[in-house]
Amino acid sequence: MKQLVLKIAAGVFLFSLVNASCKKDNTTQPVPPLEATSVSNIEADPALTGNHFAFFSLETNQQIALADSATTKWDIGFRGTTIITNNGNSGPGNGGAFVQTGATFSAYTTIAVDSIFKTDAAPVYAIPTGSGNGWYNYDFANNVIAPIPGRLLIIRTANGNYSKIEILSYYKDAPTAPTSTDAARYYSFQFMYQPDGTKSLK
Amino acid sequence: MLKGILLLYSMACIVLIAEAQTNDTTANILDELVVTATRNQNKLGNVAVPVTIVNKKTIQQSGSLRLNQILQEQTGLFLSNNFGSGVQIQGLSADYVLILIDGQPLVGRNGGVLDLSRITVNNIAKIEIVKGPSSSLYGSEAMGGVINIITDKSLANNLNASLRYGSYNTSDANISGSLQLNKFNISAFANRNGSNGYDFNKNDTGKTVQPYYSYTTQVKLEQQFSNAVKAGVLFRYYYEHQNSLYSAGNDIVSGNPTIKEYNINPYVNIRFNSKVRTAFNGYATQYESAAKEYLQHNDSLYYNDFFQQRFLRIENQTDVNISSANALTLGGGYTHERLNTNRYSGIRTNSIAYFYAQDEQHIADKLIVIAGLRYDDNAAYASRLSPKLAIQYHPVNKLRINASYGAGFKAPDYRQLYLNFTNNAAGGYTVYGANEITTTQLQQQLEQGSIISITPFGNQLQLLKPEYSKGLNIGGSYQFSKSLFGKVNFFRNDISNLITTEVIAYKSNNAPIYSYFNVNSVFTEGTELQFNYQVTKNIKAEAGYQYLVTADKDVLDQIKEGKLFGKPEGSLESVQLTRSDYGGLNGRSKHMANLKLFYDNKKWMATIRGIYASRWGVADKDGNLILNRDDEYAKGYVLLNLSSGYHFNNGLRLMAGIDNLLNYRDTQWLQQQPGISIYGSVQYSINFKNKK
Repeated sequence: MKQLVLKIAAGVFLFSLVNASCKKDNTTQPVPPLEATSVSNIEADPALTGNHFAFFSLETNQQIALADSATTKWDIGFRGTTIITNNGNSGPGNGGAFVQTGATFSAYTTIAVDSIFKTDAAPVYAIPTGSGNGWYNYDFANNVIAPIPGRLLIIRTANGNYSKIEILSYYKDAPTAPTSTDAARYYSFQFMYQPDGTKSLK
Repeated sequence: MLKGILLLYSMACIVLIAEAQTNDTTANILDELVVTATRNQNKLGNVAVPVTIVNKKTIQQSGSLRLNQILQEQTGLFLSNNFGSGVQIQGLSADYVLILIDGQPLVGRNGGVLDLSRITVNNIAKIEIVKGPSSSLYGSEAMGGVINIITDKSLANNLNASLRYGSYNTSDANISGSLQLNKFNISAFANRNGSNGYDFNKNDTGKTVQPYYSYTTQVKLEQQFSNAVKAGVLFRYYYEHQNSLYSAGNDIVSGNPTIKEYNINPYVNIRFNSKVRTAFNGYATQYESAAKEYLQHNDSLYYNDFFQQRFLRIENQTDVNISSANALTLGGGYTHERLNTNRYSGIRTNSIAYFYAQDEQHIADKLIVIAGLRYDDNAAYASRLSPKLAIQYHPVNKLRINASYGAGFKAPDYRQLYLNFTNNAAGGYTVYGANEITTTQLQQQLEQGSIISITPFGNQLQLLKPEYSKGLNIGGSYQFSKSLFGKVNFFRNDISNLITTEVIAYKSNNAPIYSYFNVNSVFTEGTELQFNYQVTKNIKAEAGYQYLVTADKDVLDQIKEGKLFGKPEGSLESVQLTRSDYGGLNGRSKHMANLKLFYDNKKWMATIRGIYASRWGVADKDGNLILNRDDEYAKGYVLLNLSSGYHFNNGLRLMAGIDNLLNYRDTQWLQQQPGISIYGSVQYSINFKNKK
């Protein structure tokens, strides 16, 4: 008897799934493509004075004041080569992140269903620190920080939406061939933000 | 501009080649004797592996002073300049090239490189260069090849003195003599070499190459006890002194680093009969470098480095001519090494027992088969068996076809195991040998805050294994005419378990910590061409070319899977890389060529030598750590060297020359290459009649 109930329950569940997806198909309308946004010269404490993060909202494409560090207004923060997301012991948000390897910004259009978003537990961060671990390689011979080509930061924002980021430069005005004398700790990046809560990024 | 000059130069050569009929020949090239390829005297034409011989006359006419200079002019040899002048063979770096003096290995490598500028060429009778893995005869280190420097033998009673002076206050003085008394002979040699150095950047403290001087002395004694027995001993001593001067922060650092090197090689050779002979060799060498450098404002010690390496060996080799067509070589020995340095924590020792056998079989006068095997029992590591098989087929006398397969290995060296070194002079980075640091220790340091992050490599520290290689050489030579000789060789070397340095962690000041890993598998492959042409009785021409392709196999896999990206020059966005974007391993020129003309009429002599190397990888600019962009290469170069001289009847010889006539300089990537240099030299020889 018990078994039968379970089977029926499973059947109902399956039916509702099929039904739901059919419904969705029927009502789908062409979604306008998302736009990539470029951001330049976010100052990640270049003067090495305050030792604080520069906060940024992917949702509003704006820098967020330091005073709002304990809110869910910001999604990512920069300090030196460290990048934090609004979650764990970094902030009160529902954020998360992982580093996607082997993908270009334009070709990466959907976050895989089984992707695991990590959270910050300083000094270990969702976006790992150190050369080769996260978003950059450090060339000690030339003393230059270079974003690793083909790496994206996949971000879950403080409010639970999704975004992809490609860091373009760590130097002021994003020179294409930076040297150690260029002013460092200035982030330039491009990002795409999906406001509807889905994992589609195109 | 450079290409234009090279073209003109080639045209000049063609004109010369077309000029006249020849009297002299190149037909005896393959009859030259070589000992390094098979560890017994053999005709160059019979050894079936790629060998280059540079003889005394070429060295003298080229006006070379140090070994790196003459090697740079040889086909397929690329001189690298990290930690001194090292030589790359078939794309394998200097770490994998064994350097011998009279058959005994030199020690004292820095960063894996044995600095060839330590070796004067003034007492060299000839240089033998064996290319490709030769571990079946020589064991560890002979993975890329072997360079054996054979010093002058006492042949008659003579006295020799020479003095040379040139640009940058470079001076080179030599005196040598030999004496034969009945069955005893002795020869002695001394060299002093010095220079004021030169400076590419007048705005910084110190010169690009700081002033230095060095002394080399060598004494050889030999006694013939009977027709069957002779014994002798070789002593060599080298001393080098340099002034160091550089800035550190707001202060200036100076000091006088020195190098001292001793070599002693006693030997006994016994010829039992026409078929069996045996040789016992003892060898002791010590290399010691010491550098103490002080801050100028308060004389406090800023940099202190001491490195002492001892190497002892006893060895026997017995050669048995089983028949006129079958020769057997058997050898064995024991090596003990000791290291004492403040780069490591404490004194380290290691010993190796080894045995090798080789058989050379001549079949039907057309085929030569040489098979060899060596077993190395390393106290610190697993034992290693290194085989070799070389075959030569000569259907007609003019044509020889060679094929050889050999295995090579290189045991992790002391540096890779035990280094514990922080370089305060260059940013405070630290290098740990693989046995000096564990992941647990790193994690402790992370908790203590002395390091800020651990890399993925830092989380997988483990014991090192030896590096292995397999090398295949297929080639041939052809005597086109009496005056024209050519040879070609195709090579492929596959190296696995390659030990590389990787960053394991970063300190709180952002300086990296390195250690060693068996990570990579790489290959090198290419072609070498060599032509010798006797243009006229007095003019000979040599032309050589090497084409080289190298790659890291893991990088190739990543490219194949579409997982490797780069950034085009001038762009910040990533694009996927293809095979053609990948330039292979850093520090390798794809094309290298040389063209040399020698004129000699017994009195007058002159040479023109042109050396070309195409661009080679030096840096990563787009963060993917591989070579894929044009601005990640150093520019290629052409060196043009001239010399000429006159030989008087009374033993006096005058010579003058210009090195680097085109004044090629690369102040960033090739600092060891000075600009145009001019020199003049005078040499006087007296030969006494032997009283018999």
